[in-house]
Amino acid sequence: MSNSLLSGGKRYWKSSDEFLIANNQENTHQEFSADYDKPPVFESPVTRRTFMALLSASMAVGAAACRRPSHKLVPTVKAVEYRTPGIPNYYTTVYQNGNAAIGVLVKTTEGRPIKIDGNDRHSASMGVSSSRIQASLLSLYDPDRVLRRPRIKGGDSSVNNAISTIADACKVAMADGKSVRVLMHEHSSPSLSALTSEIESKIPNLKFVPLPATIADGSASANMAILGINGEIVPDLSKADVIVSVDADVLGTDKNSVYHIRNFSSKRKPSKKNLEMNMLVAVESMMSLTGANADCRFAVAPTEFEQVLASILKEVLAAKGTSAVGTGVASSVSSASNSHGKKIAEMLLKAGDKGVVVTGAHLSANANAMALCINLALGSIGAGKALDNSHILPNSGVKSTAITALRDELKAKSVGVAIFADVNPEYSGDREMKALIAGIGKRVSLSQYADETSEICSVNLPTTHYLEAWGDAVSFDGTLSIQQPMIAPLNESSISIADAMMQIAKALNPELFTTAATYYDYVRARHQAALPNQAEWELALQNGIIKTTEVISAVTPIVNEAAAAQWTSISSNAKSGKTIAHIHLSPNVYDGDMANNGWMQELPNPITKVTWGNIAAMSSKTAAAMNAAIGDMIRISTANGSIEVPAFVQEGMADDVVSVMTGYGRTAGGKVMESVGANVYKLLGAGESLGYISVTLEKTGANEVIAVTQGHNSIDGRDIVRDFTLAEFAAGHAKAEHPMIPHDLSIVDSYEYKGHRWGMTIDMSACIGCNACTTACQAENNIPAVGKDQVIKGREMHWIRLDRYYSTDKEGNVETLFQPMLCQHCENAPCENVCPVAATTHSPEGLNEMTYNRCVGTRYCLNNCPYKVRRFNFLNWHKNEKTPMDLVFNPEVTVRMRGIMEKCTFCVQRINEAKFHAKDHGRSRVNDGEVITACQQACPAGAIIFGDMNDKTSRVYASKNTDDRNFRVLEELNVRPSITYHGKIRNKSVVKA
Amino acid sequence: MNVTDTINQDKTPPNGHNGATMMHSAFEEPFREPLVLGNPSLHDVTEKISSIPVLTPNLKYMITLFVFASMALWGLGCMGYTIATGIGVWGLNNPVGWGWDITNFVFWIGIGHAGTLISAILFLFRQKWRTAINRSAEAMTLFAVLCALIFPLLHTGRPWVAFYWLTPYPNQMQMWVNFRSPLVWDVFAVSTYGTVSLLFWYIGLVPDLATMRNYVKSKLGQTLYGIFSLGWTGSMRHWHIYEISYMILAGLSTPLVLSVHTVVSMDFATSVLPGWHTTIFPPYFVAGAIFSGFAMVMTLLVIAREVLDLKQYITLKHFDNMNKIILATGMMVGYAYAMEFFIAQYSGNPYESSVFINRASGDYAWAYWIMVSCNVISP
Repeated sequence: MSNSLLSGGKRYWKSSDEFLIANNQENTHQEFSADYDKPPVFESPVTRRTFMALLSASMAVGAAACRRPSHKLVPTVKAVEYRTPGIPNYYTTVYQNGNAAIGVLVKTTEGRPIKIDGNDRHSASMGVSSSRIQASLLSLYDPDRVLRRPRIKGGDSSVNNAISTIADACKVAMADGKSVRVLMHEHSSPSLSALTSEIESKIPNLKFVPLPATIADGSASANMAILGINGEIVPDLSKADVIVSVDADVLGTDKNSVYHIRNFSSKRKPSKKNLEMNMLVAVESMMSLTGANADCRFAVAPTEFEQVLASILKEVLAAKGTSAVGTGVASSVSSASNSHGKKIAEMLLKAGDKGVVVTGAHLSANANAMALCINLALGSIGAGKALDNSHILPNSGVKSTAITALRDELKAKSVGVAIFADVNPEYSGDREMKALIAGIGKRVSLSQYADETSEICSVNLPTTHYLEAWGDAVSFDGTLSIQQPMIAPLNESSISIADAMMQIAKALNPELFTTAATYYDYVRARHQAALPNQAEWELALQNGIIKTTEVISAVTPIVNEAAAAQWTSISSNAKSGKTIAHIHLSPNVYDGDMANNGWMQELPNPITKVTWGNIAAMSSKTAAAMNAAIGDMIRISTANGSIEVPAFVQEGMADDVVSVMTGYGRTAGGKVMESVGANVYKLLGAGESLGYISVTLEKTGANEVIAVTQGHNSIDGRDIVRDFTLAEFAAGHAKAEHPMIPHDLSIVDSYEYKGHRWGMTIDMSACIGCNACTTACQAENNIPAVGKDQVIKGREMHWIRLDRYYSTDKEGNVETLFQPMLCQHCENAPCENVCPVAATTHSPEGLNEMTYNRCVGTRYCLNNCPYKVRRFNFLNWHKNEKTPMDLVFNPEVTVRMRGIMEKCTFCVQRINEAKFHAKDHGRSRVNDGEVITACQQACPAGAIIFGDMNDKTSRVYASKNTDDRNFRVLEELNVRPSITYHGKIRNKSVVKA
Repeated sequence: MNVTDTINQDKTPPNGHNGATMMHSAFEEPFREPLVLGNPSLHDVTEKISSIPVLTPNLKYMITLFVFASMALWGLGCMGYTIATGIGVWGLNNPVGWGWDITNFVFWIGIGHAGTLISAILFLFRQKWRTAINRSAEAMTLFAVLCALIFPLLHTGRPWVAFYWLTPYPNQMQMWVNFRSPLVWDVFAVSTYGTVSLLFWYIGLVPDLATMRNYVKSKLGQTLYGIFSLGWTGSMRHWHIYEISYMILAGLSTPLVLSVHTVVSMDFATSVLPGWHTTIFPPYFVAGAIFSGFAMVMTLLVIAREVLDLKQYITLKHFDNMNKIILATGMMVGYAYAMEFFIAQYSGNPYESSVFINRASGDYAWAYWIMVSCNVISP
């Protein structure tokens, strides 16, 4: 199967199975989806009665069953200001990914938000977004969040009652000499910080403690010790030529991944004229998205990270001298020796002060300190450098001290009331924390969902979504944004956490907040100085950022040499035990905050392509050692607990490491998230969080079908993806493999496209595989999530499938390629001529159009599509969508009923909108850049270019006609796709600019 | 079972008609096995055959009816469930958009071929042994075409619109069907085939209906048979017109035997899928159709012969003849199987080869080898 026609020897594969088959190691060929042999008839058990009912109804049912559910239209009695029916309004606000602020622009129609995109004026977003930002829209309309009521001791209540009950409880506790602790999630809001300190100062027994689900203090501790900065420095990857990532998933689960991807990919698009390109080196034990995009990747055991870093540090100091960090450091790493480290140091030294090492904050403080010293020695820290020491992630300081203090208080039973403000320690806490919480006298929960912690709280108060509440947020570079609500709280008995805290505090101390009735007033008053009048306030809301005159400038870092010397020694707390589990964040549901979001659950993991649940990813060697096949349930145990997850063989894993994601295994709070996957937090002991723990693995004997969207198809050596090294590209090899295929085989003349002709290019070199396009497309085009069972059957509906391929380099290291695969809008579309009812046809502008109303669902087009990008509504996926879930729909796009085929439309609704706009302005043509597809808009890598191929000045024309890397997938079929791809370039040797 | 022949006893037999020769075949062709055993008179044949629809059904018949009616009802229930819930209740997925639905369609259409072949081609070739089985074969064809029509309709996502949107008719949407689609060709091929088969069956049945009209005692039976026998009196003129029209219809349906499955095969042959995109499909499908059609006729007749006590009329000789055709078409199909593999390898197309290697050794290898052993080795 490796005898490819076209791909010239290099072999690509999609799943480990396919690789094994090709090597004749195993004789099972997963050509079909995992449950192909399951009986498909009757999803639910059919009783005698159901059967008889079906039987008797079967005659009439053909006519009766086929109606869409009817809805009543309610006219607006009072006209609403600023609203023209059918014309969307755009408002800015700010999304907080933990403590990272990302400015967004929200599209609202008829008063309801229907799409979230990045705000191009905001420095952390720059107009692009992530799948999590896109999907946060769906959480707004989540019935499990909206249809909740405040509850006191299990009975329904009101917001006011709940707040006074909480306040009374606090009063009682304080009178009793006990304290009140408010446990908060991470945030980046200066107003909220001010609010909490104001409350703390006026109510001495009340204190706010950060208790996020995951804690990673390594980086902040190192920065604190050596630079005196209590926080994490946010790197600017666009300023680096060589980036060394030591277990830092900057492109994946980092809170600022959008910003990092944008910067990283901006230097991944070399052309013949400009060969400049950055280089990413990854050292990691699991296969992360960052590792998958690395030009050079080293899979090492987690115990080796410090060795590698020490070795790099030693080499760098040897070359650059010790003046930056002091001689003490040199002596503490003098014994280090590591072959990977030496190679990496060589690459870094070539880049000089444009070389930067980033480390995972979950690694030890020592590892982080070593990386810091390397950067100091290289000179890459400072104003205007890749690591600007004024770019500190807000509220990213060391948290473990405060949490340890809290544990001590809880142990001493001095806490009378605990208020859980959007934190869920009953789910995410370690074993000790859960036991301590159980001992608190009065527990109160302020949360969006009736989650695990709410269940053990006597008062439950629903809180608002970020699109429903006022607030503000500051990003690492000081960009300040106002968070403005898009819609009144859908849950009428919900309240924002800040408002709730204000009211509780006011009840405890009437001196507080005498001038501000609500949190909005508080925020407004805080920004009074910067925005003195209403016009300026409105301008700030319009821009999404507050222009501050105050510019934070980086000063030359002052290094505490003694601390540097102390912290750079290799720490002795190496994990014992044979197998190490890597606890890491899920790129989709993260620490569990988005677990009830169907879009996020169904979004395939960028690397494993697993949906709906977590897995125990391990190398094939590790799996073979315990005789585990994919899907065999593995019990992972520690002294604190055990979980059972299905085994998954993953390329590029270090041996004896098993990686498991957080965020799954929820037991309460929402229909979507409950009993999906396993709760990794159960494995943790006191103080443990993200990172590495020693575990024991055993097979339980059971097995589970993993809902993986890729891996059950094989490519059989087709020429689908192409990659080159930068040297090969420079030498002109990128074009060498173009197959000699005649393009004019038809006996009739090709159609002449006189007006627009839409086309797209996708740069596989820039694409990092983050999935933002998939979710953006889902939000724009009303694409349903179908659930785990249906994904297992291969019926996922995403219009963009982010294909992931593996290959190996000359040394045998695994390389990864990403290729977003969507409808190619072929000129000779094989789907079009087989449709009996002409439901899919070609438009005069080159679109492959799908007429839903005409489709009868023969699925012939699906069979005949060589790219397999057509999606069929096998069932009525919208059947279980409850109000207010239906408000999320984009009114410009038809919601498809069952029995209908669908696929990418090139966002035809956006094309038409642009055409109307052009017509309004008296133009006959749409200008380049006026139509931006949803995927293109979201793509943080800027990998997608869409436009008019007939317009010789358009970006897409230039991209298709001047780029040497341009190729068409499956060109030999002569279907002439309108989408072309640019082959991936890997930078295997440092090229100095 | 052809009752027509029995009429000849009472009416003047036209020269050279099957019925007359059948009776005398034992004398004219002494070296051949007789087509009917026991040398019954024409009246005996009429009595025997005509009594079947009139007499109270026997126990064997009732049991058979019960078994098959239950199966049909179960099928009806499943269809209702499919239409009410959606096509997703089947195991279809992406990229395998078609499954048993289209397999069944091709299967039933193929089976239908035996009827036409027996009626038309064997008639034109003057194969006299066909008369014992042609009526049942034609009836089976009709029901097979009906069954075949269920599946393409049921397999669509929205059968409630598919059943008329696939036909070209002037409509308010100002839409025509897409004539480039093989599925539309199917609609034409199958509907033509169905119509011609129906006409052929009915025209052939007219003299028999007249016999039944004369035979039945009930008023209702007489009226209904009377209406459908179109005033048949058995006059020379009637026989003359009958013979001519039968011949014309036989001529018309002969190309259909070849065309229908050729068109059906184009559903696959015109696609871009490796393993489907091959030119061997039309002859291969036709041979397979005749093969399976004869097998189905035999399956049904084995039951009918036992249940309705017709061993005298449907003899082993008939089975022997049909077996010869099955053997011939089975070999053709076997050749096609082999040729597919050869071409896949010879073309040098790795995707094509991969499909075939996978077909013989992949997940569905068991099905493939059952097919090969049943279709090629065992006949």
